[in-house]
Amino acid sequence: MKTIRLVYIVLYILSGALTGLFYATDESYLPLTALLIAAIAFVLQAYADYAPQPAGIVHHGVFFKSISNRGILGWLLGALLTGIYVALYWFPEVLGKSIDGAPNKGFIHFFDSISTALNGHAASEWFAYGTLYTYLIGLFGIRFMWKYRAHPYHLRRTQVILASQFVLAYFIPEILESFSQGQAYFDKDLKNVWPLNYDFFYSWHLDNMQTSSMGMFFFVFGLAMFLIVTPILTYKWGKRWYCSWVCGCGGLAETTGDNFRQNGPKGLVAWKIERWSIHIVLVLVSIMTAATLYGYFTGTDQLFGLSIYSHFQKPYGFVIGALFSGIAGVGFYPLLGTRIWCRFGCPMAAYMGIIQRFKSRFRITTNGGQCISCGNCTTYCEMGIDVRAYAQKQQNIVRASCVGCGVCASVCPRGVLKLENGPLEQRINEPQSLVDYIKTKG
Amino acid sequence: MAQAPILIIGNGISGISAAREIRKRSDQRIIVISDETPYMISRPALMYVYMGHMKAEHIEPYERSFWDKNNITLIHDRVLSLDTAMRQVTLSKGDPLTYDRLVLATGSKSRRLGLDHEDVEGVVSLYHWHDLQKIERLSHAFGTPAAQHKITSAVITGGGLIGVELAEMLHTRGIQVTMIVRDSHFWGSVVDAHEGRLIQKQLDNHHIRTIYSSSVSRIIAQQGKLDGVVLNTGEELSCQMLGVTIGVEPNTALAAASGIECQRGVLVDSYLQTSAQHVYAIGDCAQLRAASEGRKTIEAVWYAGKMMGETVALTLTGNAAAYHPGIWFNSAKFFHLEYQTYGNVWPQSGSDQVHLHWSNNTQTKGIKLAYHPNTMAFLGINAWGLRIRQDKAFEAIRQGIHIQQLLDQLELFNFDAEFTPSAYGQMAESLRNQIPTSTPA
Repeated sequence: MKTIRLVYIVLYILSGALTGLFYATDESYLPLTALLIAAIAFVLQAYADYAPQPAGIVHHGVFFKSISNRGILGWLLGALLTGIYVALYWFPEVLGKSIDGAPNKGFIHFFDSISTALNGHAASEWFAYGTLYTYLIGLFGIRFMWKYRAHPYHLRRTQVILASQFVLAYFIPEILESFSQGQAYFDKDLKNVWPLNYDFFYSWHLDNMQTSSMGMFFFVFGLAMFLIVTPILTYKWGKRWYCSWVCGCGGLAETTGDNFRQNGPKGLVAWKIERWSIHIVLVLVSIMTAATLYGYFTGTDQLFGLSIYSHFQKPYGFVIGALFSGIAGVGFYPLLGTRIWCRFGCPMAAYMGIIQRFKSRFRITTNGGQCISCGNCTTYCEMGIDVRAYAQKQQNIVRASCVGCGVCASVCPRGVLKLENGPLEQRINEPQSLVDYIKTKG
Repeated sequence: MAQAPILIIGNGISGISAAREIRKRSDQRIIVISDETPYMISRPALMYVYMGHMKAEHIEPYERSFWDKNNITLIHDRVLSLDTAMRQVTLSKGDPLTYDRLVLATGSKSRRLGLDHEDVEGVVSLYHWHDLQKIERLSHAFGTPAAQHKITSAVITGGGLIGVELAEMLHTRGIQVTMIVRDSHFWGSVVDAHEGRLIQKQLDNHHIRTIYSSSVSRIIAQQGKLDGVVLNTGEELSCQMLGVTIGVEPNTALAAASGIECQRGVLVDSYLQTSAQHVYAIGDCAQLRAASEGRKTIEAVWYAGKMMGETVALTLTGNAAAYHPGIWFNSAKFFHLEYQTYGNVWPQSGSDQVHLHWSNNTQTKGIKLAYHPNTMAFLGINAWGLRIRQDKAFEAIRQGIHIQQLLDQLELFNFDAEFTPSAYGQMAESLRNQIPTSTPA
């Protein structure tokens, strides 16, 4: 293991040196080479960290470490991430974005050669961001699989997260983009569904989709995802099919954010706020989209004398799209956990949550009277659900917010919890005393 | 004058279960007294606080707002004496309290070796919140380099669950642990050698040294500090910590001092009432005058305390209820190895039960089924590294289904996480072959 540790440290240094060399020589093959070498180093590090330990999740020291216990390192990382998002949304020139047609510089320039190879353009700030995002999901996904290698559910789930991110969110859109040079842009991520993808119905997007048969396919597919696919899959498997298996936000939370899943706000107060805020966002996105469509079909840019752009779209994009889902959603990972956006804001999660709560086969079954109220499930629930409160009352967990990540069941030391799909009868059971449970079963 | 309160001594799972169930059924004042922690904690979760999986607040099963909301008064104080005639208790800090009914839920205390120097610094047990504080004080911080370890080696005596938990805890701080086990395999009072091997595998994987068929016969101390132990074999082990985890016994001090009839525990009838009027005892501290079928008179397990608390609450709120624990079950975890048991599975076979065994090649999963040699009725199951659905196991035990029939439907027991490759096909095949073809007459 010592040799491996030495090797990955050398590789990290090499990767850093190649990055320096790139900025000195501008050789176009260097960025990708540096990223790949760093990836190899990262995977070796994950191997060295987890392989010597017996398989099985261990959370040793999570609440002793500064980074994972909201210590100084956690705050510093939070500040760094928040800063990156602020720059990305409002000051991309800080990251090196070209101004007035000049070439990219700095951070964004690093991604130019990769962007050119994939889609023929120099990198935009969003290409750089998307590449880094996908890269992180890949690396931390592999690390996560090492950590959870004793748990087939997590292995399967993480494989799907990686496939969704790399294929659906990254390569397919970028490659399709390169085939449609000069054509009007529209979003080509098949799993980015309205209402999460709130600009799907924006006039320019609807118009652009109608300029090609591929665009029409994406339009029909997008509608079908929202109206047909999502309700059916959520009925069958709960919202987990999306939130912890496919979604990009969820993918980052599950992989890169795994170290911070315990830091979400807990308790009844948080739950109360969450129920209000997530449904308010669902209402807001619906109103905003209704206004947008009204404008589109009537050909006006005003509704009740209010500008649709500056009174509906712009505030939603700024407050919800940028501030909430980006800056707070990821920037605050180390401080508020990885699912702040998913819990308190995501309208897609709200929509599926309603289905999951009232009409779905999914539940977390509580196994009789085995719960010892230890609290591992509640502590490691990234959605801040007090899982223990149900388990210790012999009650199944059926909650709108549960994304079905399965970690509660994995960290349970007494085999109490199981995620499963089954008949709707008896899915939701009233809390009962253990005496009553034993009276009927024992 | 307002009615006197129901007083509960002890805020563990038994006392708190009683308080909760009383509150569901009555508006009478409830006071819970404990000198351990101000709010209830989950005792089995103490280990996770030491290992840094959780903070102390995380092992409180109820939010702190819960107690006010449910009008349950918590007092963090020590009860000094109990006068059952006056219906009064005196406290260490607060004023004496009178009660209408009293529930003793005083739990257990760790059993001691009874050796000289057992009170020196370095000798610990693991039951109480204060035990955890003591272990923490003796330990270096998590992640400290080996050269700065306060303790480099520990000896744990006792081959049961708490001993393994303590070993797991110390292991996370890089402390070398040696376990001294009285029997020839682990947890000899509960499991057989086949099963002991599965636990042994976990200990080996985590570099825990084990010495079997031995016990600690002498404690070596210097200037009030532990220096090592001597085994009954004469072997001397140097160590800076000695974990004494040889079981627990009912904490009867308060009851016994007040004249309530006690044997090993506080004696109670099936309504959990003690020899004193208006006084009940539940949980670890209670000893039933008569055990129900397949159960013991003292059961220091989490859920038995929970059920006793819920049962006494029914009696205290006017629906006298006898304690019926039903079919035995329990669970534990030995490092990464989960254990669940349902029904009565004895360590060794005998005239009233015989066993079938299965384990996988890597010794990470195993199962032991007990059935009656004459009736072939299924009696119980021990599962290792496999999660068993309690509803289904109980149903099969209650019906006493034929062991052959059980093997045909064993997969119904499967409570493992989705996508876990099922071992049940292979398992049933192997178990079936172990059943003697001709049933004894």
